[in-house]
Parts: sequence; structure tokens; C-alpha cells
Amino acid sequence: MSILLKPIDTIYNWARANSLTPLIFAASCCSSEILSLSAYDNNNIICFDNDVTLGNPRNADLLIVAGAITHKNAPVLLRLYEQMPEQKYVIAMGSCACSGGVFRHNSYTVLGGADKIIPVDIYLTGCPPEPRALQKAISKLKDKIMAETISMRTKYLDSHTTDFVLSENQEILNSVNKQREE
Amino acid sequence: MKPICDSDMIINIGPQSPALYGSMKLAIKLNGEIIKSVESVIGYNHRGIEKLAESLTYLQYLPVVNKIDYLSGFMYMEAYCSAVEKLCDINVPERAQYIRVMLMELNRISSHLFYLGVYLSDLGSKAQFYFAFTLRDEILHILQDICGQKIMQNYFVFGGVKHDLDLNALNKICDFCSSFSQKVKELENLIIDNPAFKARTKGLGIITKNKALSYSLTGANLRSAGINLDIRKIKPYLVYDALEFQVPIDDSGDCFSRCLLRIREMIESLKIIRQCSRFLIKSSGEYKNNDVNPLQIHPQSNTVISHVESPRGIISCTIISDGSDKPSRVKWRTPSLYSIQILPELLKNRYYSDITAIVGSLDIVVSEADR
Amino acid sequence: METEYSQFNILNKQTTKCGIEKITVDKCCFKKFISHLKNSAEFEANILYSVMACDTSDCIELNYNLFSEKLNRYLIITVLTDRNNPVCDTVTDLYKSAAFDEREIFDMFGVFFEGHKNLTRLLMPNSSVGNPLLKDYNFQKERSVHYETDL
Repeated sequence: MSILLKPIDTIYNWARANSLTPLIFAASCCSSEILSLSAYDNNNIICFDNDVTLGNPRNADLLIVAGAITHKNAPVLLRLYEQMPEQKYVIAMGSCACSGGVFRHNSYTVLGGADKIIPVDIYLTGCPPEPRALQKAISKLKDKIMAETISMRTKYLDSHTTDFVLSENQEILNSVNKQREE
Repeated sequence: MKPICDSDMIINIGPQSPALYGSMKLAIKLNGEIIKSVESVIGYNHRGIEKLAESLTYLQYLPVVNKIDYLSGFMYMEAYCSAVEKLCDINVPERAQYIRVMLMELNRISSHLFYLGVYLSDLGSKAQFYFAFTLRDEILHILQDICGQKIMQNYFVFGGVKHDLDLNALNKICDFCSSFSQKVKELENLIIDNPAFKARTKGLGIITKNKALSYSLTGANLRSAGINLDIRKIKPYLVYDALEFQVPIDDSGDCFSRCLLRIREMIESLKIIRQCSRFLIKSSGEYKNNDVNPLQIHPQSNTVISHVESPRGIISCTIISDGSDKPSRVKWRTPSLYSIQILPELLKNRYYSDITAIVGSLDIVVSEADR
Repeated sequence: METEYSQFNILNKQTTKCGIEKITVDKCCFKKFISHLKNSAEFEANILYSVMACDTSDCIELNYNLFSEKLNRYLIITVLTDRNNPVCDTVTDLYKSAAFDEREIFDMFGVFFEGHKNLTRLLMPNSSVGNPLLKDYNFQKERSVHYETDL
């Protein structure tokens, strides 16, 4: 069965990998490195220039999370991720988005990374990472996409577990906090 | 013609937007195309930097200071280092002071180029974005050769700088100065002779003298209203009293003059860099105070304040110590917080399409306002 | 200048290590003192750089950083408030830049400013509990966040 699906997989993956539209969630310092990249991107790996679709989650496939995520910013990130249509991929750029960075242990608002909320595909560390490292991360993502099959992607997304709870319901939040205190 | 609908509409320019410079929300109440009121919400980037200082020692806090504002890391390091040096009576040798001044002025030029590139590209001209950013890239390569990293360099220490500048780096800086002085004249002519830019920014977002003082604006925002206040001239720190440069002022207070003043400041910074490099080529001396042991800083109970002129305004760092090896309270006064405060008054009764021109001209960096 | 100041209750006067004068004033008449300094022809403190708060173990200390352009001089005015029930007068009618500063102090320390038009949290989310910069803030990493619908 999987041999029959292989040519379909190849065509889908080839189309997805070569037409990535970015959505940039620029929270803090690493956003200046993304702008520097779009200024001298001589390989044209990613299209930053399209003024019509820039900044619109309904048209995007790739979410680049750059910068530290705080408690106030977490619902914004989750809502943007939910608004993007399938298939979507996420790159966590910078040490603060990967794991909290300098602020991990002593700060009262910074979460320990973007993967507490959304499943992340590529982790790019550095404080800040060199702009050409972002190009390399995108080409690694393309290799990852070309090696996918249709059934593997849902298993990967289901395996993402987190103990962080975002909810509108105050009772659920109170019960989570009580459990933690015990 | 009668209006179709008379009620107000609320539009969010939300926390994620390519039009704003960071995570900030503007809730705008519109009647047709005219803005009735604006409410700004910040705090999406609040990382708790002031509380972080109470659990880290003086030396451990030094790399965190770079990350408050990613465009002017050297100014924040200078504010923190000079506050700790005042607290512990540490002397900085003269060669180190000239190196610090030269790197801070290079940082000022690169920050103004970033501002110009982003502002002009938001107003529609994409070519200037590439022009300004390639120039900024040259400066960042020079800083990478000296300090090891492009931004967030972490190069100043208590009592001087980490290592010395050699003749190779100084030659590169001199070559950069001579090539940049022609290009900055091109940038200035681009703006002065451009009728589209003038039509979009002249007479817009006027800040009067009394308003500017009451909202405690500083930097180019205040100098474009006609008030001559520059910390480098009235209360000089490091070696600024021995250097010759001028402070450009203008009278009109609109978006056009704010943009023009920043280009003129770049020209003055070039003069300072040339004088500093001449001194550094001739002189020789210590680049660091060797009597300082940064692991053993235990100051007595005192309060110190230090002020630095950054590309956006005046930064001040207040440290209150209590005798232990960790500070008791560190307070940062950042200029972008006060630029955000004046936005509701500037945007009232303006058209919706004027928002990018007015917000961009104030040079706001939101991660500095939130700390 | 010394004799004029005797009508306000000045508790203490000292000079900090960097040479700036720090005057501690009683809470009841510090606003009259600041408006006197602002309007007086010789001192004319026309810029308020920042309002800062600090948590010492007995009280919360508020520092007002004033600058006089005419005399080229800094001045710090200090006011002490009670730690259990901190209340103070606002200076937003004298200096408009104090609006965000006082909101931040309300957020971080819990000081209530009488007369402020919009005293709400500035940097922390609206649903958070507690004042972070106090020394006895409960510093545990939260594991849940309210998913706010009006973003």
C-alpha cells in the first residue's frame, strides 16, 4: 500500500517544500536578524517580499517564532497557530524560543520555550543565530519535508505532549494550580 | 455627501503585525477614515529584567544587559558598567574610554540606519531598505572582527574593555569612514529632494516644546521640537568633553524633521569616530584596569545613577546596593516607554493612513519599553 | 532657597555617591513641594525623568527624578509610604509622563495613586495575581495561563 502511495507522496512533498510562505512572529531581539536576512538573501530560499500575504496566518505554511515567549504572549501565539491551515511547520529561532535562554530560571514571566505550547519542527539555537544559519535551518526543513509520508505527520503531531495549560475556564486553571501546589 | 454610517468602529493593530516594531497593540476607534481615539497596550515582551538582577551577582548580570535593546547594546553596557564603577570607585584608563566612545558611535550609526531602512520601506520605497541594510552590514562585520559577534557583543567589563584593538581593525574603521561619508550625503539628498516623502511626512505629527517637556521626551524627538538637550554636551561622561562635534537641532517638530535630524546625527558621529581613531593609532596604554577583581564586588549601601545618550533618547540606570554581592534594586529608565505615551495625542483626528508615518518616526523599540 | 523649603516638612537631606542631592519629604505635602519646584523662577524643574519605587523592609520608597534645564542640576525627591497599605498622590496633573510610570508601580508594587485616571496593570496580564517586584513575591513558575478572548 505504501509503495502505491509513494509517487503521490513525492509530488506533494516536492510542492510543499519549494513553496513555503513564512509568517514571522517577532517577539524580541531575533527579529532584527530576520530583517537582515531578507536584505541579503541571495539564494531566494524564502519569499519575504510578498506584500499582499505578509503577516497573514490564513495564507502561511511556516511559522517562525523568534524571541522569548511570555505569559501575555502565549495566547497570541496559540491563536495564530490555530488559524494557519494544514500542513504547517514551525521553526523556533533563538535560544529563548528553544528553551527559555538566559531567562529560563529566574524570570517570572518567560515560558521555557515555544514547545510548551505548539509542536516545533526545527530548533535553531544561538543568541542571536547568524542570518545564514536561518537559511540552513530552512533547507534542513525542506529535507525533512521531502522525507515525509502522509500518515507519519499525524503521528508526529500527536506525540507532542505538554504539561502547560491554556484555558478560558477559570475552574480548570484553579484545579491545575492546586495540583501543582500539592 | 451624507455619511453612510455614523457609528464608531474599533480596529486592532494587534500584537503580531508587520507594521509595528515589536509586540504592541493599538486599539483604534475609527469614524470613517478619521481616528477618534487610540489606546495602546504593551507588556507582551516583559521578561522581568529588573527582578532578574536581584538573584544574580554584579558580574552575572552583565550579559543580560545587552539584551534589553538589541539595536544599542553598547549604550546599555556603558550605563551599567559606569554605574558599578561609580559605586566601587574604579578608574577607567584613557585608552579604554576612547575605545568605548568609538564603539558607541558606531552603534549609533548602525541603529539609525536600521531605523531609516525600516521607516522608508514602510512608506513604500523598498530600494532604500536594501541600501541602508547593506551599509549596516558593513558596520556589523567590523564589529564581528573586533568583538566576536554582530549584535549583543558583551565587550565592556568593569574597568575597561575585554581586549585591545589592533592596527588592522583601526584601518578597517578608517576605510569605512571615508566610504560612508559620501553615502550618507546621498541618503540626505534622497530625503530632501523627494516630493513623495515630503508630502507624506511634512506637517504631520507636530510636537510642540511644552508637550515634549511634559511627556519627558528625549533624544532626537525633543531636539526636533527646538530644545537643545544632549547629555553628551551638558553633562559629559567618558571623553566627550575633549571631542569636537555639534548637536543638530530643528524647529518644526514634525515627522520630516525627526528623520532628517537622525541623518545629521550620523554625520556628527563620523567626526567623533575619526577623532577617536586618530588618538588610538598614536597612543598606547592600558585597555583595562588590572586592579579590579570582578568576582569580588561587595559595595556598601549606596545609590548611584548613570545617564547615557542612546539613539532613542536618554537611558538611566539606578543601582541600590545593600552590602552583599547582589544588587538590591536595579531600575532602567528607557526612552521608548515615553514615546509610546505620546501616541494617543499625536494620532487624534488624523487619517488612518497616517499611522505608519507617525508611529515610525518616533523610533520605538518595544522590547526596550517592556524590559 | 533654604529658607523657602522650611514650610514643607523636609525629613532628611543627603547627597548620593554620584553627587546628586536627595531630599526626603513627608507624604502629606510632597506634591506642593514638587509643584513649587516646578513653578519657581529660580529652580524650574521642568523635566521629570522617571518615578522609581524600591521595597525596603519597613516601607516602600518612591523616588522622583527631577531635572532643571536652567540650572543644569538633578534632584531626587523621596517619599516613604506604608508597606501594608500603600497610598500616594499622583503627579500626572503636573507632569504627563508620570502616567505610565505610576501604572507600572501599581502593577509591580501595589501602590495605589489617588487621582490617576486609568490605574490598571501595564506590563503583567490583567488576570495575574500579586506584585512581582516585592521581596516576598511567591516565585513559582506557573503552569497555566488564562486564554483571554479579548486580545
